Amino acid sequence: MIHYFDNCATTRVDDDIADLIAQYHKTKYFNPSARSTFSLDISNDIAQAREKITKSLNAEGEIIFTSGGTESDNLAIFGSLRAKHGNIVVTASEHSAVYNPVVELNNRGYEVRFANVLSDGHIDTEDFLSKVDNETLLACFMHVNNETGAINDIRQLNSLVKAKNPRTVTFADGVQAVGKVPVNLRYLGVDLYSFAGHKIHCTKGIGALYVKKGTRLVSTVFGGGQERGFRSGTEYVGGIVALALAVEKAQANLEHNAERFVVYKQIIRNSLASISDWKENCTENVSPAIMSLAFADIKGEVLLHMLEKFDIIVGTGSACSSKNKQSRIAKAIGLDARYAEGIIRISFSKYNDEEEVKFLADKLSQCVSALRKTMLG
Amino acid sequence: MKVIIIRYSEIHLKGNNREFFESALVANIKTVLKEYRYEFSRSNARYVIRNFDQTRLEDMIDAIKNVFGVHSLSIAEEVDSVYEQISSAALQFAPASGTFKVVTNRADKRFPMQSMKVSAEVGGDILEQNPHLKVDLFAPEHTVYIDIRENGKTFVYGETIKGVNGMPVGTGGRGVVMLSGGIDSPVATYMMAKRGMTLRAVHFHSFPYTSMQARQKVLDLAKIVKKYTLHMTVDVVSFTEIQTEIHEKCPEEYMITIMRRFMMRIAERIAKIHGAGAVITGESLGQVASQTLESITSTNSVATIPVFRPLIGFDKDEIIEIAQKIGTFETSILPYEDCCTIFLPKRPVTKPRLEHVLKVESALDVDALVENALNSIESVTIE
Repeated sequence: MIHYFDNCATTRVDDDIADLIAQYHKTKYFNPSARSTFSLDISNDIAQAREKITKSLNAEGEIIFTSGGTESDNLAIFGSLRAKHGNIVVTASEHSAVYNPVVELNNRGYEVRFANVLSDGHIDTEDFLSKVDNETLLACFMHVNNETGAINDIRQLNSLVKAKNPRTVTFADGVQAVGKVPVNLRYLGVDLYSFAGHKIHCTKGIGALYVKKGTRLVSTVFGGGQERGFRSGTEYVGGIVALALAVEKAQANLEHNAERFVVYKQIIRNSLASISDWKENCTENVSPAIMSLAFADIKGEVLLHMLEKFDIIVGTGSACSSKNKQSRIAKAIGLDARYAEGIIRISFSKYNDEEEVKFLADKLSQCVSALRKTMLG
Repeated sequence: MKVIIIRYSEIHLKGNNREFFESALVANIKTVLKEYRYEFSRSNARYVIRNFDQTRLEDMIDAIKNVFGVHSLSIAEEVDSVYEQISSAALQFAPASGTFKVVTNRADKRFPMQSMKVSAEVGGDILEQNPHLKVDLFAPEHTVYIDIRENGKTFVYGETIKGVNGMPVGTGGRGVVMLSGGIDSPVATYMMAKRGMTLRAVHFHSFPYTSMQARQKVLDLAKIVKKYTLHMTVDVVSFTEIQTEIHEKCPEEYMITIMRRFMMRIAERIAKIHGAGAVITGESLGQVASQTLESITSTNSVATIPVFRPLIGFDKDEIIEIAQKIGTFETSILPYEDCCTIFLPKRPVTKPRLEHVLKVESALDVDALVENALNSIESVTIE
């Protein structure tokens, strides 16, 4: 059996959800835009899914279905710019799906201002705010940091940014937040908010962007005018319906899961007590689902491979940026050089039980001790 | 209907070995064309491919031009040896602009016009069609060739496409190449295949210190070089035990020297198992600490068969240029190998003395470690 602790990278698809998607492949495969009555039913299924998500997340506006987090982020960033000049304020620790689009905006002549993050991955609110001015078109701040698990107070950030410049569009990447921490879109107040299905036991290839009522957004994909023109292309109906179910399920189990994960983290801490020179990268206001650890004088990737031998899968930082050599985030949070390469990320899901967390905790301390012996100091 | 004319590097094919070289070359061409349907025929000093799916022409050309021993190719129109047909085919190959000439070879002396006359007449037809062209008999930008053959058929063609030359794979013995995943070793593989060698690769990996992605990268590289070597099997050797043993029992600065000696021993054993007579490495003199003359001496001293280092006199830039040409560079620079640097000493010896290396190495049970490594081999045949 695989002991999977890399649920920030992706999650196992829930059986109910897999079955639901299969229905839309095998029997309800009609094009929602066609003229038959069968198609009308499918179109109604999409409408119902949209409604369910709107309700679950208390959305006060549109939910636009996309192919996932990256597409939602791109639509938010490229679709919301209302002027040819101006600046964009963004935190230095953003996921590549936000970071690289703003780098592209920089290449196109916009000024991009990177705001600092604190040593545990939280946004430095003061620094962020100091970079917002009259010319700020867009402010991007992630809800939950995908590498450290830091939960940002985006309600506060949003209102501070709006107070300074009411015309600034605010966008939060909620990919690691939805289904893991409470998300109430109306309460949070942001203009745009993105999330993805595959992080919450839904399939890859489906995600959504929330657009608050009154927020001006233009399409970046043109075609048949689906999703009210915001995202043309025949809808991935199975994915859409499944996403609604996934959001509902995750929201319903939110507190229960969080309580379990807090216990899991403590089991790991206890097991590591006998080991020196390690730290937890974020402990305050942290997602219960993410535990980011740094071990001195060890390479995180080697530790990851050692754990693999016990059928344990953990992550090193973000899977989406592991093709780049150095963690931008390790740099952003100013991690000591001795620890910078020794980061692993443990992320839980509802499928993890206490038994296997104990197994992980045990093997983790065992592997770290073994590696400390082998590695050259 | 278009045909493909293949010319081989004739210089290698003289004398008693001609049949040996030719049959290898033909077999290799047929290997790269195995997914196509076509007719193959030999006619003096060249091969002709006919009756293939004309929509696959470009793909077939790409496949054939990378076969070692192929000197050049032409896409030709084959017509009856009748002036009108020859002329209309020649018009197809006429350039759109610039200068040109027509060259005619008349092997069939029954053809009523002499070759100079054919060239002049066809040249006139081309000019008539496109008066902006100019004839230049001495340094033309384009040449249209007319080859009137004895069987009543004529080939008409324009530009020739260069082949990779070299010797047909299978005519230069067998070798085992050490494929690391870096830039150099795929190039070394290419160089030896170019000299006709049949190759097999050995890769040393150290899971969990190197990732499975690093191993995959080597298999990906093997797949690219297979385009030239035609066949490729990679023997993946688990090197973890040897590395940890050296790390535990030998001084840090000798890590690489001793590691390289183990690699050489294992490569040679693999060579002997598969009837190969040489080991090939991508070393280039002085490139890194393990590639100084003294380091190479230490590594070489465990070998009893020839070790070929085709890149020994190449600069890095020159190696990169070939890597780009053969299509391995982009894969080679993927950043997966860095895990292995765990074992890299801060200050490796650059001039190890053999006596000292032997002393240091005596702490290890060399034979047992080599046997274990050989038993760990997983042979991956690249499809």
